[in-house]
Amino acid sequence: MKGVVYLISHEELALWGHVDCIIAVKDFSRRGTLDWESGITLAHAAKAKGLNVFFEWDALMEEPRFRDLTRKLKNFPAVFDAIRVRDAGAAWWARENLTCDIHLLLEAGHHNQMAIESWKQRLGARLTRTALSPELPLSVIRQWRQLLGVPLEVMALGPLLLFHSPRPLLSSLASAPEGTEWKATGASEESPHKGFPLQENAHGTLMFHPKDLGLLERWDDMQAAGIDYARIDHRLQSSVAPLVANFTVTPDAENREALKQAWNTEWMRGYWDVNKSDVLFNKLKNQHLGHDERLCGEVLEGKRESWLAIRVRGPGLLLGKDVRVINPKGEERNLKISWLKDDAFNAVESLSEGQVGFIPWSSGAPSRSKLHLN
Amino acid sequence: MERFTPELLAPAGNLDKLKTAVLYGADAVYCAGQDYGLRAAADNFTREELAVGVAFAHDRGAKVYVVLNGFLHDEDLTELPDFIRYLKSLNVDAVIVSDPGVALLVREHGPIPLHVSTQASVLNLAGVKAWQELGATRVVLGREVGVHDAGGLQRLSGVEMEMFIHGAMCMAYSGHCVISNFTQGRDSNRGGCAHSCRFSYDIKFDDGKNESAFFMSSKDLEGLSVLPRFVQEGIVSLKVEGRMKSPLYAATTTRVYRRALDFWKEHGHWDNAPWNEWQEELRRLPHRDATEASLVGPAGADSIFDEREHVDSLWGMAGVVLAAGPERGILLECKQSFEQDARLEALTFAGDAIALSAREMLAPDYSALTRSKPSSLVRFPWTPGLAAGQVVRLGKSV
Repeated sequence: MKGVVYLISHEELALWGHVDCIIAVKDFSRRGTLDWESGITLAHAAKAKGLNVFFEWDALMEEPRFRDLTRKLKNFPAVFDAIRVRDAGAAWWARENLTCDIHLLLEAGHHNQMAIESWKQRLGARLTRTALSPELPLSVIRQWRQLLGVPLEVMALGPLLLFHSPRPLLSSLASAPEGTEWKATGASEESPHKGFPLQENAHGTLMFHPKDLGLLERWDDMQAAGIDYARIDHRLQSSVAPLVANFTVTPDAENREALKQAWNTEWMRGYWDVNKSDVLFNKLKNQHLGHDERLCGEVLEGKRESWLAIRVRGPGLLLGKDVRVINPKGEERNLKISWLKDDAFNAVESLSEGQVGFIPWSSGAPSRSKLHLN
Repeated sequence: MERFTPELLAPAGNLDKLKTAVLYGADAVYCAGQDYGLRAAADNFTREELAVGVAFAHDRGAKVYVVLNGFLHDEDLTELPDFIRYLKSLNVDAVIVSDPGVALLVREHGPIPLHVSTQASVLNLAGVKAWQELGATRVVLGREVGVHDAGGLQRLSGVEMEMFIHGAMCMAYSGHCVISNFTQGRDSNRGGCAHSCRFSYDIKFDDGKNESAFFMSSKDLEGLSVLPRFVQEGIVSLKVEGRMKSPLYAATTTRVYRRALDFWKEHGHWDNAPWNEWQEELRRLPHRDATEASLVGPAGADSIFDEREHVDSLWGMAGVVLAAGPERGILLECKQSFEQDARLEALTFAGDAIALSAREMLAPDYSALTRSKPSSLVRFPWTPGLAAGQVVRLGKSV
């Protein structure tokens, strides 16, 4: 498993030997710090050192900007071994207009194998790497590596981007003109998490998790799972670059601990072991109020000892039928439809789907209770 | 030749809201089954309700689009082919997806016309073409795209463009926010969004300055005044956000935009259009101020809604008419309590609102009643012009 790092300066270049390098220029990369010319110069220097160099295009662009900037990209410098793209449009454009390899940055979504398969079908052999979402557990990645046949990259250490808006959200608070670059931290009133790193630049506003994703302790597992590339994003703490370099050459416990000690943000594993971010969904709904084929109505209101007002659902309701009333707490009662009235309070023998009517009262059947045919 | 008029696409969070939207004039509605959408807490539709809803809409000439726009994991896909086949059997008019894997499954097990969700953040022509390759016939553009650019994308690609015209907005690029996922364990892209962007945040700037603000909360989109541009650019469909919102919202937004589009359809110009009246109607709903966001130019700092709650509304939801006729009178399902001096107005499907006298209210069994309760039924004397499905609003005391 090979390390992947961001190359941010000629000074740091001296450190890197056994890694792939990403060049992030301001126009194309959300967190890019290099201008176009210095990015190209740095890429050439890295290439001369024998390193693989990739161009990052992870910024999202509306059509006018996309059109303008792709003019520049049409003369894509041959120094780059691949272009790394996030936007579906950028991937399509790169396939149509460039000849280099394509790396897909599938960190937003693409949580199923079919999604990646769809890109594989369209990009063919040009797709030489996919960077996966940090929401995928290792068990899934292991399975995919065997089935997909596309080299996989994960972020092994670095800041976890939570939010990206194109709007300038910090400069307005600072009463500064839009386009000014800002850094800040935020603390939410509703969350125990404090110190969300914030950044505003020409691409908008970014917010990161207070803890960084740190999976270096699982390096061996990653390797065993067949992960091909592990990215370390040290751009927010460039002083640790030598320690990152040491670890990418010798990923042992000693180098890892040295890096962890120097890294100024706590690490977390995120969803590496398991992703259960859908388990709370059931609690968002009342499970007692489910629908089934025997549903025949719902209670709108009740008048004690007198009647229940209902709306008929499903196939309809007939006089004389036995029904089961299930209330929002899940309590069930049997009820015989010994009389049935329509919405004008006239006696009838049946009511059909959507009609409102009245039936005998039952205790424990507040509004929203369901009627099921026995 | 009939004048081009965009489709009005309304939200349908449940079967009742679907009926409301269709009755108030939506050309199409969008709704979700129990899974696969982005509103896990919404009632959503069972299979049986979908069948009823599709039939109800189709009988009245309206289309139904079903959202399957979650970023789904492998395990979520197991039962999806069966659901797709069911939707096909119902003749739903399209499905809305954001995940290329889901698009492949729809192609394989439908096919059903494929619309790309705004969740996919399609922002440029190349993005449209990428989805066109997967079979998309329509793209719901990212909210960052302006109307003029959208018109260009439609003309150059031949793919239909759909744009949001009204409702709440994500501040982030849609599909690019995972705050809920990593802070609350709720996958925002599978329907569990906790709306963390609406919270207040204490901000510490690197220069030492501190601010407390709702800096990630967006004002609500109100594209009414941009309607002439949508028409001029030939945008095929205009979408109202809000599957979680009340029937009053569904009725009011559909009614206002229906009237505006019908005005254009009838006159072919906007001279003397009652813009103020339409806008006042929309702003009587609870809302977080109003912004055109990026419809005309990129949304700036003035699109931030730096307040906790929405702007107080002049009207609340009194209830929905369940039945109406000379014999039975008006049977209203109440959503909140009101007394005999309450100011009530029924929103008709076409035409002016009609006042109802709360002094004349009775219990559903015709016994006397002085005060309604939430989740109760109230009967009023017959008033011509009222019909089942109409929404009744309650004026708030000022």
